[in-house]
Amino acid sequence: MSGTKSLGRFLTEYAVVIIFLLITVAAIPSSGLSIQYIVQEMITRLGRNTFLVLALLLPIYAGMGLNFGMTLGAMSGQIGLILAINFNIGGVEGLAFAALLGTAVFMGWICGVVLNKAKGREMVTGYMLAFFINGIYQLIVLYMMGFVFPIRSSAILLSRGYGIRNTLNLEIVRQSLDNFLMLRLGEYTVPVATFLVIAVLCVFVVWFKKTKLGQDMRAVGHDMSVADSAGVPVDRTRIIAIIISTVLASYGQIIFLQNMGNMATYNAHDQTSFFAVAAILVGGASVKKATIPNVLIGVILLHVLFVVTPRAGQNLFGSAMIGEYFRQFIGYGVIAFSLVLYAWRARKDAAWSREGLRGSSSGAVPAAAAAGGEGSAK
Amino acid sequence: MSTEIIDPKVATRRLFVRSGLVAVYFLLLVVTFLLGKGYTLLIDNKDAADGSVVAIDGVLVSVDGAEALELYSGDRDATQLKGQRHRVIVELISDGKKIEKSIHLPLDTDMLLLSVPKLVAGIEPFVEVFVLRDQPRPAGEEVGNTNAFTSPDSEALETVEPPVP
Amino acid sequence: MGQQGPLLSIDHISKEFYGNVVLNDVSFELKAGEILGLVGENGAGKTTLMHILFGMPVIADTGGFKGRICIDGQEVSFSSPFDALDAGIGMVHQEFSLIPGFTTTENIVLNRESMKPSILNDVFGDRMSILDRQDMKKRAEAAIEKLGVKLDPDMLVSEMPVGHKQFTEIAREITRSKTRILVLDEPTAVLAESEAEVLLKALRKLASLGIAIIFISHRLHEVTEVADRVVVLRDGIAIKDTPVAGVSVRDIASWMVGRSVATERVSEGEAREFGPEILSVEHLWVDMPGETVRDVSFSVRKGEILGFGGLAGQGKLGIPNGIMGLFQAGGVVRLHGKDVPLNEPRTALEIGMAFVSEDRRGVGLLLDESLKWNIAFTAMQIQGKYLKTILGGLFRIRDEAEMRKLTEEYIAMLDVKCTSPSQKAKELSGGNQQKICLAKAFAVKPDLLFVSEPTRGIDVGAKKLVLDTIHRYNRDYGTTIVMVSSELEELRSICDRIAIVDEGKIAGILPPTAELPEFGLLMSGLGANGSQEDLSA
Repeated sequence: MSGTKSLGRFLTEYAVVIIFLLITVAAIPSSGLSIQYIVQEMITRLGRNTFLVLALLLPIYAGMGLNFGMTLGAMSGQIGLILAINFNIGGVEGLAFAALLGTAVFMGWICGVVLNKAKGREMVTGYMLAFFINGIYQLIVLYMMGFVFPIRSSAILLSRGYGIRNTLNLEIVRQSLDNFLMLRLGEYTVPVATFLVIAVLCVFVVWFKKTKLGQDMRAVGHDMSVADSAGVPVDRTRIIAIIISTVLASYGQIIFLQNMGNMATYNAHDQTSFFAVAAILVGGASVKKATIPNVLIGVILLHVLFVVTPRAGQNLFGSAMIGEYFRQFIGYGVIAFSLVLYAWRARKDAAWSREGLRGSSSGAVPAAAAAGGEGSAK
Repeated sequence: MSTEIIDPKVATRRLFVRSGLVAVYFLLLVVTFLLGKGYTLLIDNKDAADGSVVAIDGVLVSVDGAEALELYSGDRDATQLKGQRHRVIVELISDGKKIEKSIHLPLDTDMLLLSVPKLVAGIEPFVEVFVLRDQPRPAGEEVGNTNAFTSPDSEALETVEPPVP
Repeated sequence: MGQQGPLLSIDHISKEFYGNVVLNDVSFELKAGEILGLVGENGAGKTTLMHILFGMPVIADTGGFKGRICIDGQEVSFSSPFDALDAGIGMVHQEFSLIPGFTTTENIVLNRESMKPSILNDVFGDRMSILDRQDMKKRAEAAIEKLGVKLDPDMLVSEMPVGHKQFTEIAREITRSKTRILVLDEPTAVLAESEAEVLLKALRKLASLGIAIIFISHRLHEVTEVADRVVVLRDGIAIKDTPVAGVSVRDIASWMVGRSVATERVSEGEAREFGPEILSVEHLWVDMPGETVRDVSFSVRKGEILGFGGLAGQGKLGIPNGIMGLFQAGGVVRLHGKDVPLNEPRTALEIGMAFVSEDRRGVGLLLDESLKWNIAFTAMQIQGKYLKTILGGLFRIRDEAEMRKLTEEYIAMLDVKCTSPSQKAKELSGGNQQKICLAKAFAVKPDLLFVSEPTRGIDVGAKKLVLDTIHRYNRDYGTTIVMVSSELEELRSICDRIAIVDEGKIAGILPPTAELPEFGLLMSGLGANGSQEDLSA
């Protein structure tokens, strides 16, 4: 492979990261924010978002693409929090209680079964499934809670007597994980406990990849039919990947919300998957390949931009809303761009790998015979 | 080939481990519930309605070793508690006499009232369930939830949020 | 070894698919340590026989089979390929079933990895065990050793040369401790000469270790080189079962293609005069998955019918698809001496070429549209025919009356069985659909017509009608035709010259009157030399 070609490959591989880095570096000065402020924001936001983004890893290993169905996990986490608030269970115990309720396992199973029926179209199916389950979530939370399921805390109910309020005050669990072990490092505060939880998850992911199940997941992700003919239970493996991802997403959402301190009952999950997916893509992951560094880089880059753009918008255009607008615009733009880039690259790779078997039009074809037949080898 | 041939010894061990884990799971659920259960404890230093006790002029009340609250006659203060079992230390400012009591809070309520005069006088029960008559609600939080589907997104909330302390 | 009874015996096996007999009373035996060459043309029943041996669900789904399969004299019946694996039959597929992103080792021990239990085993089962990569590597190296080849156990399959992929796949089968019978389906099809030799050597080594091997190949010289015995299948019948010693490639080739039915040549004895060269193709390559064309050169003269034959997957279908711009292609193609730009389907149509695709339902027809639409479609799109202008040329609308007339003309000419020109294309039978495809191409009035697999999937009577139509069209209008077909008899019945494509290249060009074994030899990867002068005949 020649030098220019490998440079070209490098650029296409990291195009999203590079573009993002450039935009971010350009936007920081015009925002007028101090580096200290941005660093503190990054520490906070890393703690808040990383877990959610890590939840995307396993389905990517299992070849199921970006799990837009993680929204189901987010909803499960919210149901857990609603119940914790209902029973007035506060602090870290409240978070643990919400996490232990585990509706996410059931949600993940549903999602896995549905995605198995839509092999090859997991992403759009997951996305649509999230809308559908959102309807069920609203039915339960808005109509059945307090009506079918007893709710003892009237403070979280709408005044009509059933249904949970639009905004739920999470005061009793607010930042309880972050404050559990808060470390002051010079002018920065670091939520050590939150980072420990994230570190444990990273260790789990690394360990999991070394297990038989992890290996099976990789096999299924690379080639389902080969894995199947080797006797790997493909459907089951895929369901397990989605269940784990959904459960992790529910934990991620709990961590996210405890940091926020309040919860928009009917909207908090709307864009969970959207921002998590945007983050992992910004970090240089693709539909087929993602690593823990991708997650960390992605969260930092995306959120620096999120912190900086409203101020930059304010300073440059006189309106913070323009920054808000850029957030959405950039988020969707990144996803669309990455997906297109991925498809383009996959085609390009296939073409490169088949190049060897073409006879050169100059006449002699020695290389073709030697490298021959890769086309039929797929 | 998922038909694993498992040695019966391993199978029994697994059965034990798994059922043990299920038990641990439920235990954890109960433990988090009990330990995390939150209460608002109102500490009241007023005359009783029935005239059984009168307010004490100047006490320091400390719950679970926290910083003491200073209450004079007719004062009422509140403290947030987690878990069912707590230790209350009441110190009379006048003579420095300390009274230590252990309280056990019931699970089915969130807000209780501790009457300092009753505690000092040794009248049981000095902790009672406190019932709010009409709970005031914040304005603009009403049933108008037709826009539950269109209200601002979570990220917008995030910008409203003050920088984390 | 293996002087006792046969290890595997195939006993009077018959199989039909919906009344179509694919295997008819096939029997043969296989001893331990023996290599059996199984040869036959496409459709001779090799694949079906292997499906039966492996208990593929498709067999049971289509009504099972007659006869018995015995291993060590015990009758066996497999309900899934996994049963066959358990019974000790390993299969090396024609298409690699390897995972490209995995290393050699990971592929060799796929789903049979060495494991160390972890603490979570008791909670979530054995799949939580940690892989023992060292032991996996050791096992992989042992298998590679057994094969007697050089393979890097840590290399990614995607970065390997093809030959190594084949070895990896064989190594995987032999790491199963139980494997006693190994089936290799066209293992050398994708290998270079030198790689194939190494493979054959490895097979002999395995046989000497007592593994029985069924070797399926169309390269007959390899069969004669490596096999102890050869079984020839033709039209579902095992017509020959003989030791290889003393048998020549030519013998096998004639057993393989020899037909019981005599060829009926449509235009026997007719003197044929051709015009100047109309199409010349030099060093064409086409990137059509599964039908890769590597380096093909030929020329066609005006008024001629040139046939392309060869086994499936060798690239004959890629030729028309590449020239017509449907798949990525390169090389030089000239029509009437002018360069044809490749990869532009519209241009290819505009300059006077037409294509009747082998993919009738996908590319050939608009299934939900009427016949008149179907027939007039290409002519309308490409040449602007059957359109009339209104409002002084501002709009152009379809000339329904003209289209109807045209369609009726072709329906009468090709004898299409239909209710009316407005009938939907999907309601016709396969043969009549094919006629509509032809009519659609004829309506363009092409100088050069490519016809690909014109008789695929239609019944015998309709086949003859379709071939007659092509033949008559050539005679009546002098249209040059390039026809691609898997059925040699079909090509021999109407073509003026027949080129055999093998491994993406033209193995040779023969007159239709040539002896059958000649064709067989060309298909078997032999005879590529010496036929070069025929190319520009």
